[in-house]
Amino acid sequence: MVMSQTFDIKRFGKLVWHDVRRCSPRFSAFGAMLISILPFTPIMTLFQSVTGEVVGASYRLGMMTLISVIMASLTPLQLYANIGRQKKRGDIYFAMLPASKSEKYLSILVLSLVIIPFALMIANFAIDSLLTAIHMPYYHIYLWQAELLDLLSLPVFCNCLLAFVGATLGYMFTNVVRSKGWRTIFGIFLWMWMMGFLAATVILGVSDNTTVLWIMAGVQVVFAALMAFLGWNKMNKLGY
Amino acid sequence: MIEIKNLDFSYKKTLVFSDINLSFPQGAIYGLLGENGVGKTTLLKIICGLQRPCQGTCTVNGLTSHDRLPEMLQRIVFLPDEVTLPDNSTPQQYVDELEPFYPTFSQGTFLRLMQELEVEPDRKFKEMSFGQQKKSLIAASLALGTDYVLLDEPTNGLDIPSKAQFRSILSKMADEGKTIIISTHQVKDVENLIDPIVILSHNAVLLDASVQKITEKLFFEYGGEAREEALYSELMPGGYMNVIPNENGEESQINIEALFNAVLRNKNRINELFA
Repeated sequence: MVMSQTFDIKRFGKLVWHDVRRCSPRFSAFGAMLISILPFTPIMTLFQSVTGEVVGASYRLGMMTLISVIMASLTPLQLYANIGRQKKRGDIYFAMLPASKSEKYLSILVLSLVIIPFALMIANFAIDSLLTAIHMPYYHIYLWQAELLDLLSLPVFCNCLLAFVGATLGYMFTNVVRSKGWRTIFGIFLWMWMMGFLAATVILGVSDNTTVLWIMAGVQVVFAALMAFLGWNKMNKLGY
Repeated sequence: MIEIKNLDFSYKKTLVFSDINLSFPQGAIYGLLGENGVGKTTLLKIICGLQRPCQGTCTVNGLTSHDRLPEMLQRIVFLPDEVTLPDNSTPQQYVDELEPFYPTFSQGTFLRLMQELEVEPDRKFKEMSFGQQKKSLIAASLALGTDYVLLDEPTNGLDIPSKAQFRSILSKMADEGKTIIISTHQVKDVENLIDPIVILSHNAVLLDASVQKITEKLFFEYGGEAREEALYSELMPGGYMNVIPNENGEESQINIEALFNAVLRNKNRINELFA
Protein backbone atom coordinates (compact mmCIF):
# COMPACT_ATOMS: atom_id res chain seq x y z
CA MET A 1 0.00 0.00 0.00
CA VAL A 2 1.31 3.44 -0.93
CA MET A 3 1.55 5.77 2.07
CA SER A 4 0.07 9.22 1.76
CA GLN A 5 2.75 11.88 1.53
CA THR A 6 0.64 14.42 3.43
CA PHE A 7 -0.79 12.46 6.31
CA ASP A 8 -0.49 8.82 7.20
CA ILE A 9 -1.95 7.71 10.51
CA LYS A 10 0.60 4.93 10.99
CA ARG A 11 3.52 7.26 10.39
CA PHE A 12 1.89 9.91 12.58
CA GLY A 13 1.57 7.38 15.41
CA LYS A 14 5.25 6.57 15.06
CA LEU A 15 6.09 10.25 15.19
CA VAL A 16 4.05 10.92 18.34
CA TRP A 17 5.66 7.91 20.02
CA HIS A 18 9.07 9.12 18.82
CA ASP A 19 8.44 12.58 20.33
CA VAL A 20 7.24 11.11 23.61
CA ARG A 21 10.35 8.93 23.80
CA ARG A 22 12.62 11.76 22.87
CA CYS A 23 11.19 14.08 25.49
CA SER A 24 11.02 11.44 28.21
CA PRO A 25 14.30 12.56 29.83
CA ARG A 26 12.60 15.95 30.28
CA PHE A 27 9.75 14.34 32.18
CA SER A 28 12.12 13.90 35.09
CA ALA A 29 12.71 17.67 35.05
CA PHE A 30 8.95 18.21 35.07
CA GLY A 31 8.65 15.73 37.92
CA ALA A 32 11.25 17.67 39.86
CA MET A 33 9.36 20.91 39.19
CA LEU A 34 6.13 19.31 40.28
CA ILE A 35 7.67 18.05 43.52
CA SER A 36 9.29 21.43 44.19
CA ILE A 37 5.87 23.07 43.85
CA LEU A 38 4.31 20.52 46.23
CA PRO A 39 5.01 22.34 49.50
CA PHE A 40 3.30 25.47 48.20
CA THR A 41 -0.17 23.97 48.33
CA PRO A 42 -0.11 23.05 52.04
CA ILE A 43 1.71 26.32 52.83
CA MET A 44 -0.85 28.38 50.96
CA THR A 45 -3.65 26.34 52.49
CA LEU A 46 -2.25 26.93 55.97
CA PHE A 47 -1.87 30.64 55.21
CA GLN A 48 -5.45 30.89 54.03
CA SER A 49 -6.76 28.98 57.04
CA VAL A 50 -4.92 31.42 59.33
CA THR A 51 -6.60 34.30 57.56
CA GLY A 52 -9.89 32.65 58.33
CA GLU A 53 -10.98 31.73 54.82
CA VAL A 54 -12.59 28.36 54.24
CA VAL A 55 -10.20 26.03 52.50
CA GLY A 56 -11.70 23.14 50.64
CA ALA A 57 -11.41 20.89 47.64
CA SER A 58 -12.26 23.75 45.28
CA TYR A 59 -9.16 25.64 46.36
CA ARG A 60 -6.99 22.56 45.80
CA LEU A 61 -8.53 21.95 42.39
CA GLY A 62 -8.06 25.60 41.37
CA MET A 63 -4.47 25.53 42.52
CA MET A 64 -3.87 22.26 40.68
CA THR A 65 -5.37 23.64 37.45
CA LEU A 66 -3.27 26.78 37.69
CA ILE A 67 -0.04 24.83 38.28
CA SER A 68 -0.84 22.43 35.44
CA VAL A 69 -1.67 25.24 33.04
CA ILE A 70 1.53 27.16 33.81
CA MET A 71 3.72 24.07 33.63
CA ALA A 72 2.09 22.76 30.48
CA SER A 73 2.47 26.17 28.84
CA LEU A 74 6.19 25.85 29.31
CA THR A 75 6.25 22.48 27.57
CA PRO A 76 7.04 23.70 24.05
CA LEU A 77 9.75 25.90 25.50
CA GLN A 78 11.28 22.86 27.18
CA LEU A 79 10.74 20.31 24.44
CA TYR A 80 10.90 22.22 21.19
CA ALA A 81 13.22 25.03 22.19
CA ASN A 82 15.18 24.79 18.95
CA ILE A 83 12.23 24.42 16.66
CA GLY A 84 12.65 27.89 15.21
CA ARG A 85 16.38 27.62 14.91
CA GLN A 86 16.72 24.51 12.77
CA LYS A 87 18.70 26.38 10.18
CA LYS A 88 21.52 26.73 12.66
CA ARG A 89 21.76 23.25 14.14
CA GLY A 90 19.36 22.05 16.80
CA ASP A 91 16.36 20.73 14.99
CA ILE A 92 17.85 19.69 11.68
CA TYR A 93 17.33 16.26 13.21
CA PHE A 94 13.60 16.88 13.59
CA ALA A 95 13.34 18.55 10.19
CA MET A 96 14.99 15.57 8.50
CA LEU A 97 12.68 12.95 10.03
CA PRO A 98 10.78 11.23 7.22
CA ALA A 99 7.34 12.56 8.11
CA SER A 100 5.25 15.26 6.50
CA LYS A 101 5.03 18.86 7.73
CA SER A 102 1.43 18.34 8.85
CA GLU A 103 2.39 15.22 10.82
CA LYS A 104 5.23 17.08 12.52
CA TYR A 105 3.02 20.04 13.38
CA LEU A 106 0.21 17.86 14.69
CA SER A 107 2.66 15.80 16.70
CA ILE A 108 3.89 18.96 18.44
CA LEU A 109 0.28 19.96 19.13
CA VAL A 110 -0.71 16.53 20.44
CA LEU A 111 2.27 16.41 22.75
CA SER A 112 2.02 20.02 23.93
CA LEU A 113 -1.75 20.35 24.17
CA VAL A 114 -2.88 16.83 25.07
CA ILE A 115 -0.27 14.39 26.32
CA ILE A 116 1.77 16.70 28.58
CA PRO A 117 -1.19 18.55 30.17
CA PHE A 118 -2.99 15.26 30.73
CA ALA A 119 0.11 13.72 32.30
CA LEU A 120 0.52 16.78 34.51
CA MET A 121 -3.10 16.70 35.66
CA ILE A 122 -2.79 13.01 36.50
CA ALA A 123 0.46 13.67 38.38
CA ASN A 124 -1.21 16.50 40.29
CA PHE A 125 -4.20 14.31 41.11
CA ALA A 126 -1.89 11.54 42.28
CA ILE A 127 0.02 13.89 44.57
CA ASP A 128 -3.19 15.39 45.93
CA SER A 129 -4.59 11.91 46.58
CA LEU A 130 -1.39 10.88 48.30
CA LEU A 131 -1.58 13.89 50.59
CA THR A 132 -5.20 13.06 51.34
CA ALA A 133 -4.35 9.39 52.00
CA ILE A 134 -1.69 10.31 54.55
CA HIS A 135 -4.14 12.71 56.21
CA MET A 136 -2.20 15.91 55.58
CA PRO A 137 -3.92 18.87 57.28
CA TYR A 138 -6.63 20.44 55.11
CA TYR A 139 -6.73 17.41 52.78
CA HIS A 140 -9.99 16.00 54.10
CA ILE A 141 -11.57 14.63 50.98
CA TYR A 142 -10.38 12.96 47.80
CA LEU A 143 -11.01 15.23 44.82
CA TRP A 144 -12.96 12.61 42.92
CA GLN A 145 -15.36 12.41 45.86
CA ALA A 146 -16.19 16.08 45.37
CA GLU A 147 -18.34 17.28 42.48
CA LEU A 148 -15.59 18.65 40.22
CA LEU A 149 -17.69 20.93 38.05
CA ASP A 150 -19.32 22.45 41.13
CA LEU A 151 -15.89 23.13 42.56
CA LEU A 152 -14.53 25.06 39.63
CA SER A 153 -16.52 27.67 37.76
CA LEU A 154 -16.91 26.58 34.14
CA PRO A 155 -16.09 29.98 32.56
CA VAL A 156 -12.97 30.25 34.74
CA PHE A 157 -11.93 26.74 33.72
CA CYS A 158 -12.54 27.53 30.01
CA ASN A 159 -10.51 30.72 30.31
CA CYS A 160 -7.62 28.85 31.89
CA LEU A 161 -7.77 26.13 29.25
CA LEU A 162 -8.00 28.55 26.33
CA ALA A 163 -5.26 30.75 27.74
CA PHE A 164 -3.07 27.69 27.88
CA VAL A 165 -3.90 26.67 24.30
CA GLY A 166 -3.41 30.22 22.98
CA ALA A 167 -0.13 30.73 24.82
CA THR A 168 1.23 27.38 23.65
CA LEU A 169 0.32 28.01 20.04
CA GLY A 170 1.51 31.60 20.31
CA TYR A 171 4.79 30.43 21.68
CA MET A 172 5.27 28.11 18.73
CA PHE A 173 4.76 31.07 16.43
CA THR A 174 6.85 33.59 18.30
CA ASN A 175 9.59 31.14 19.17
CA VAL A 176 10.68 31.23 15.59
CA VAL A 177 11.00 34.99 15.80
CA ARG A 178 12.74 35.28 19.14
CA SER A 179 13.72 32.84 21.79
CA LYS A 180 12.74 34.59 25.01
CA GLY A 181 10.17 31.97 25.73
CA TRP A 182 9.12 32.85 29.24
CA ARG A 183 8.56 36.48 28.40
CA THR A 184 6.63 35.48 25.30
CA ILE A 185 4.33 33.11 27.14
CA PHE A 186 3.44 35.56 29.87
CA GLY A 187 3.14 38.33 27.30
CA ILE A 188 0.64 36.28 25.32
CA PHE A 189 -1.37 35.44 28.46
CA LEU A 190 -1.52 39.10 29.32
CA TRP A 191 -2.50 40.22 25.80
CA MET A 192 -5.25 37.65 25.50
CA TRP A 193 -6.82 38.48 28.82
CA MET A 194 -6.47 42.20 28.30
CA MET A 195 -8.01 42.06 24.83
CA GLY A 196 -10.87 39.87 26.06
CA PHE A 197 -11.51 42.06 29.09
CA LEU A 198 -11.46 45.28 27.03
CA ALA A 199 -13.74 43.77 24.38
CA ALA A 200 -16.24 42.75 27.06
CA THR A 201 -16.22 45.81 29.30
CA VAL A 202 -15.29 48.78 27.09
CA ILE A 203 -16.57 47.77 23.65
CA LEU A 204 -19.61 45.71 24.65
CA GLY A 205 -20.22 47.41 27.99
CA VAL A 206 -20.95 44.19 29.86
CA SER A 207 -20.88 44.32 33.66
CA ASP A 208 -21.93 40.78 34.62
CA ASN A 209 -18.80 38.79 35.62
CA THR A 210 -19.84 35.48 34.09
CA THR A 211 -20.67 37.12 30.75
CA VAL A 212 -17.34 38.97 30.79
CA LEU A 213 -15.55 35.66 31.36
CA TRP A 214 -17.40 34.02 28.46
CA ILE A 215 -16.57 36.94 26.15
CA MET A 216 -12.93 36.70 27.22
CA ALA A 217 -13.05 32.99 26.39
CA GLY A 218 -14.47 33.82 22.95
CA VAL A 219 -11.66 36.30 22.24
CA GLN A 220 -9.17 33.64 23.28
CA VAL A 221 -10.67 31.13 20.84
CA VAL A 222 -10.07 33.61 17.98
CA PHE A 223 -6.59 34.33 19.28
CA ALA A 224 -5.73 30.63 19.57
CA ALA A 225 -6.99 29.93 16.03
CA LEU A 226 -4.90 32.81 14.68
CA MET A 227 -1.82 31.55 16.53
CA ALA A 228 -2.41 28.02 15.22
CA PHE A 229 -2.49 29.35 11.67
CA LEU A 230 0.61 31.49 12.13
CA GLY A 231 2.49 28.61 13.76
CA TRP A 232 1.64 26.32 10.85
CA ASN A 233 2.63 29.02 8.38
CA LYS A 234 5.99 29.49 10.10
CA MET A 235 6.66 25.74 10.13
CA ASN A 236 6.09 25.74 6.39
CA LYS A 237 8.39 28.69 5.82
CA LEU A 238 11.16 27.09 7.85
CA GLY A 239 11.02 24.02 5.68
CA TYR A 240 9.97 21.31 8.11
CA MET B 1 19.86 10.81 -8.89
CA ILE B 2 20.16 14.33 -7.47
CA GLU B 3 19.71 17.04 -10.07
CA ILE B 4 20.19 20.76 -9.65
CA LYS B 5 19.06 22.94 -12.53
CA ASN B 6 19.53 26.68 -13.05
CA LEU B 7 19.60 27.22 -9.32
CA ASP B 8 19.82 30.67 -7.74
CA PHE B 9 20.10 31.12 -4.01
CA SER B 10 20.76 34.10 -1.78
CA TYR B 11 20.58 34.97 1.90
CA LYS B 12 18.72 38.29 1.82
CA LYS B 13 21.13 40.48 -0.18
CA THR B 14 24.06 38.05 -0.26
CA LEU B 15 24.09 36.05 -3.47
CA VAL B 16 25.36 32.51 -2.87
CA PHE B 17 24.59 30.69 -6.13
CA SER B 18 23.73 32.05 -9.51
CA ASP B 19 22.36 29.72 -12.18
CA ILE B 20 24.28 26.62 -11.14
CA ASN B 21 23.74 23.18 -12.64
CA LEU B 22 24.93 19.96 -11.05
CA SER B 23 23.96 16.32 -11.08
CA PHE B 24 24.91 13.53 -8.72
CA PRO B 25 24.20 10.12 -10.24
CA GLN B 26 24.04 7.20 -7.80
CA GLY B 27 26.94 5.10 -6.59
CA ALA B 28 29.83 7.51 -6.06
CA ILE B 29 31.50 9.56 -3.35
CA TYR B 30 31.35 13.19 -4.35
CA GLY B 31 33.73 15.70 -2.83
CA LEU B 32 32.25 19.14 -2.42
CA LEU B 33 35.17 21.49 -1.95
CA GLY B 34 35.44 25.23 -1.63
CA GLU B 35 36.74 28.05 0.48
CA ASN B 36 34.95 29.04 3.68
CA GLY B 37 31.66 30.75 3.01
CA VAL B 38 31.18 29.73 -0.62
CA GLY B 39 28.02 27.80 0.19
CA LYS B 40 29.03 24.14 0.61
CA THR B 41 26.73 23.63 3.59
CA THR B 42 24.02 25.70 1.93
CA LEU B 43 24.15 23.43 -1.12
CA LEU B 44 23.74 20.36 1.11
CA LYS B 45 20.78 22.04 2.83
CA ILE B 46 19.21 22.83 -0.54
CA ILE B 47 19.64 19.20 -1.61
CA CYS B 48 17.85 17.91 1.47
CA GLY B 49 15.20 20.62 1.27
CA LEU B 50 16.14 22.65 4.32
CA GLN B 51 16.64 25.71 2.13
CA ARG B 52 14.38 26.79 -0.69
CA PRO B 53 16.07 27.92 -3.90
CA CYS B 54 15.19 31.44 -5.05
CA GLN B 55 14.98 30.12 -8.59
CA GLY B 56 15.61 26.84 -10.35
CA THR B 57 15.04 23.33 -9.07
CA CYS B 58 16.67 20.66 -6.99
CA THR B 59 15.26 17.15 -7.23
CA VAL B 60 16.07 13.88 -5.50
CA ASN B 61 14.95 10.86 -7.51
CA GLY B 62 12.61 13.20 -9.37
CA LEU B 63 11.02 14.62 -6.18
CA THR B 64 11.45 18.34 -5.54
CA SER B 65 13.60 18.48 -2.44
CA HIS B 66 11.92 21.52 -0.92
CA ASP B 67 8.57 19.72 -0.90
CA ARG B 68 10.18 17.52 1.77
CA LEU B 69 7.92 14.59 1.12
CA PRO B 70 8.41 11.67 3.51
CA GLU B 71 9.30 9.49 0.52
CA MET B 72 12.21 11.81 -0.29
CA LEU B 73 13.30 12.22 3.35
CA GLN B 74 13.38 8.44 3.74
CA ARG B 75 16.04 8.23 1.05
CA ILE B 76 18.37 10.91 2.29
CA VAL B 77 20.32 11.51 5.48
CA PHE B 78 22.15 14.70 6.33
CA LEU B 79 24.81 14.84 9.01
CA PRO B 80 25.64 18.47 9.81
CA ASP B 81 28.97 19.58 11.16
CA GLU B 82 27.49 20.33 14.57
CA VAL B 83 24.57 18.47 16.07
CA THR B 84 22.82 18.99 19.39
CA LEU B 85 22.67 15.57 20.97
CA PRO B 86 20.42 14.40 23.77
CA ASP B 87 23.00 14.20 26.58
CA ASN B 88 21.40 11.39 28.51
CA SER B 89 20.84 9.30 25.43
CA THR B 90 23.12 6.64 23.96
CA PRO B 91 23.88 5.96 20.28
CA GLN B 92 21.76 2.80 20.51
CA GLN B 93 18.79 4.80 21.83
CA TYR B 94 19.41 7.39 19.13
CA VAL B 95 19.06 4.82 16.34
CA ASP B 96 16.17 3.10 18.13
CA GLU B 97 14.26 6.39 17.83
CA LEU B 98 15.06 6.73 14.14
CA GLU B 99 14.62 3.09 13.15
CA PRO B 100 10.78 3.12 12.75
CA PHE B 101 11.07 5.79 10.04
CA TYR B 102 13.70 4.07 7.92
CA PRO B 103 12.66 0.65 6.59
CA THR B 104 16.20 0.24 5.26
CA PHE B 105 17.82 0.62 8.70
CA SER B 106 20.09 -2.27 9.69
CA GLN B 107 20.94 -2.89 13.33
CA GLY B 108 23.66 -5.30 12.22
CA THR B 109 25.31 -2.62 10.09
CA PHE B 110 25.08 -0.13 12.94
CA LEU B 111 26.78 -2.46 15.41
CA ARG B 112 29.43 -3.44 12.86
CA LEU B 113 30.22 0.22 12.09
CA MET B 114 30.33 1.11 15.78
CA GLN B 115 32.75 -1.74 16.31
CA GLU B 116 34.91 -0.67 13.37
CA LEU B 117 34.97 2.89 14.67
CA GLU B 118 35.63 1.63 18.20
CA VAL B 119 32.70 3.31 19.94
CA GLU B 120 30.42 1.66 22.49
CA PRO B 121 26.76 1.85 21.41
CA ASP B 122 25.49 1.89 25.00
CA ARG B 123 27.67 4.66 26.31
CA LYS B 124 25.98 8.01 26.95
CA PHE B 125 26.74 10.82 24.52
CA LYS B 126 27.65 13.13 27.39
CA GLU B 127 30.41 10.74 28.43
CA MET B 128 31.94 10.77 24.95
CA SER B 129 34.52 13.03 23.36
CA PHE B 130 33.47 15.13 20.36
CA GLY B 131 35.24 12.68 18.04
CA GLN B 132 33.42 9.69 19.55
CA GLN B 133 30.09 11.48 19.22
CA LYS B 134 30.90 12.23 15.61
CA LYS B 135 31.81 8.60 14.92
CA SER B 136 28.56 7.44 16.53
CA LEU B 137 26.58 9.78 14.31
CA ILE B 138 28.45 8.66 11.21
CA ALA B 139 27.68 5.02 12.07
CA ALA B 140 24.03 5.86 12.75
CA SER B 141 23.68 7.85 9.52
CA LEU B 142 25.21 5.11 7.39
CA ALA B 143 23.22 2.35 9.11
CA LEU B 144 19.95 4.04 8.13
CA GLY B 145 20.53 2.56 4.68
CA THR B 146 19.40 5.62 2.73
CA ASP B 147 20.35 6.00 -0.93
CA TYR B 148 21.95 9.39 -0.31
CA VAL B 149 24.26 10.36 2.52
CA LEU B 150 25.22 14.02 2.90
CA LEU B 151 28.13 14.64 5.25
CA ASP B 152 29.20 18.13 6.25
CA GLU B 153 32.81 18.24 7.44
CA PRO B 154 32.64 14.61 8.63
CA THR B 155 36.30 14.34 9.58
CA ASN B 156 36.24 17.32 11.97
CA GLY B 157 37.18 16.01 15.38
CA LEU B 158 38.31 12.57 14.19
CA ASP B 159 41.77 11.36 15.16
CA ILE B 160 44.17 9.95 12.55
CA PRO B 161 43.23 6.23 12.93
CA SER B 162 39.54 7.16 12.84
CA LYS B 163 40.00 9.07 9.60
CA ALA B 164 41.46 5.96 7.99
CA GLN B 165 38.56 3.84 9.34
CA PHE B 166 36.13 6.44 8.05
CA ARG B 167 37.62 6.29 4.54
CA SER B 168 37.51 2.51 4.53
CA ILE B 169 33.86 2.43 5.63
CA LEU B 170 32.79 4.97 3.02
CA SER B 171 34.58 3.11 0.24
CA LYS B 172 32.57 -0.02 1.09
CA MET B 173 29.33 1.98 1.15
CA ALA B 174 29.99 3.44 -2.29
CA ASP B 175 30.61 -0.08 -3.59
CA GLU B 176 27.11 -0.95 -2.36
CA GLY B 177 25.66 1.72 -4.65
CA LYS B 178 25.15 4.51 -2.12
CA THR B 179 25.66 8.11 -3.15
CA ILE B 180 27.75 9.99 -0.65
CA ILE B 181 28.38 13.73 -0.83
CA ILE B 182 31.12 15.02 1.42
CA SER B 183 31.49 18.72 1.99
CA THR B 184 34.87 19.55 3.44
CA HIS B 185 37.76 21.94 3.43
CA GLN B 186 40.07 19.28 4.86
CA VAL B 187 40.87 17.85 1.47
CA LYS B 188 43.74 15.65 2.65
CA ASP B 189 41.28 13.62 4.72
CA VAL B 190 39.28 12.59 1.69
CA GLU B 191 42.08 12.24 -0.84
CA ASN B 192 41.85 8.99 -2.81
CA LEU B 193 38.26 8.67 -1.63
CA ILE B 194 36.26 11.29 -3.49
CA ASP B 195 35.48 10.94 -7.16
CA PRO B 196 34.05 13.07 -8.80
CA ILE B 197 35.24 16.36 -7.39
CA VAL B 198 33.09 19.49 -7.27
CA ILE B 199 34.76 22.79 -6.47
CA LEU B 200 32.55 25.73 -5.57
CA SER B 201 33.51 29.34 -5.79
CA HIS B 202 31.53 32.48 -4.99
CA ASN B 203 28.21 32.11 -6.83
CA ALA B 204 29.37 29.36 -9.18
CA VAL B 205 30.64 25.84 -9.73
CA LEU B 206 34.29 26.08 -10.77
CA LEU B 207 34.89 22.43 -11.44
CA ASP B 208 32.71 19.34 -11.65
CA ALA B 209 34.72 16.44 -13.00
CA SER B 210 35.76 12.87 -12.31
CA VAL B 211 39.31 12.14 -11.19
CA GLN B 212 39.89 10.46 -14.55
CA LYS B 213 38.85 13.57 -16.45
CA ILE B 214 40.94 15.77 -14.17
CA THR B 215 44.07 13.70 -14.82
CA GLU B 216 43.31 13.74 -18.54
CA LYS B 217 43.25 17.51 -18.52
CA LEU B 218 45.84 18.27 -15.87
CA PHE B 219 49.25 16.83 -15.16
CA PHE B 220 50.58 16.72 -11.60
CA GLU B 221 54.36 16.82 -11.74
CA TYR B 222 56.30 16.01 -8.58
CA GLY B 223 59.94 17.09 -8.05
CA GLY B 224 62.04 19.38 -10.20
CA GLU B 225 61.82 23.13 -10.75
CA ALA B 226 58.88 25.49 -10.67
CA ARG B 227 57.46 25.79 -14.18
CA GLU B 228 56.37 29.04 -15.75
CA GLU B 229 53.42 27.49 -17.54
CA ALA B 230 52.21 25.83 -14.33
CA LEU B 231 48.73 26.69 -13.14
CA TYR B 232 50.04 26.17 -9.64
CA SER B 233 53.45 25.41 -8.15
CA GLU B 234 54.33 24.51 -4.61
CA LEU B 235 57.65 23.78 -3.00
CA MET B 236 57.63 20.36 -1.40
CA PRO B 237 60.38 18.14 0.03
CA GLY B 238 62.30 16.92 -3.04
CA GLY B 239 61.43 19.85 -5.28
CA TYR B 240 58.42 21.65 -6.73
CA MET B 241 55.08 20.17 -7.47
CA ASN B 242 53.54 21.67 -10.60
CA VAL B 243 50.01 21.47 -11.90
CA ILE B 244 50.16 21.95 -15.65
CA PRO B 245 47.77 21.39 -18.55
CA ASN B 246 48.16 17.79 -19.68
CA GLU B 247 49.05 18.23 -23.31
CA ASN B 248 50.74 14.85 -23.80
CA GLY B 249 48.03 12.70 -22.22
CA GLU B 250 50.39 11.46 -19.52
CA GLU B 251 49.00 9.84 -16.39
CA SER B 252 49.73 11.31 -12.97
CA GLN B 253 48.68 11.07 -9.35
CA ILE B 254 46.19 13.77 -8.40
CA ASN B 255 46.92 16.04 -5.46
CA ILE B 256 43.63 17.57 -4.35
CA GLU B 257 45.14 20.48 -2.44
CA ALA B 258 47.20 21.49 -5.45
CA LEU B 259 44.19 20.98 -7.72
CA PHE B 260 42.06 23.17 -5.45
CA ASN B 261 44.63 25.97 -5.50
CA ALA B 262 45.16 25.65 -9.27
CA VAL B 263 41.41 25.90 -9.88
CA LEU B 264 40.94 28.90 -7.59
CA ARG B 265 43.80 30.84 -9.18
CA ASN B 266 42.97 30.07 -12.82
CA LYS B 267 39.19 30.12 -13.04
CA ASN B 268 38.97 31.09 -16.71
CA ARG B 269 41.71 28.74 -17.83
CA ILE B 270 40.11 25.83 -15.97
CA ASN B 271 36.78 26.67 -17.60
CA GLU B 272 38.41 26.50 -21.01
CA LEU B 273 40.23 23.25 -20.25
CA PHE B 274 37.14 21.46 -18.92
CA ALA B 275 34.61 22.98 -21.33
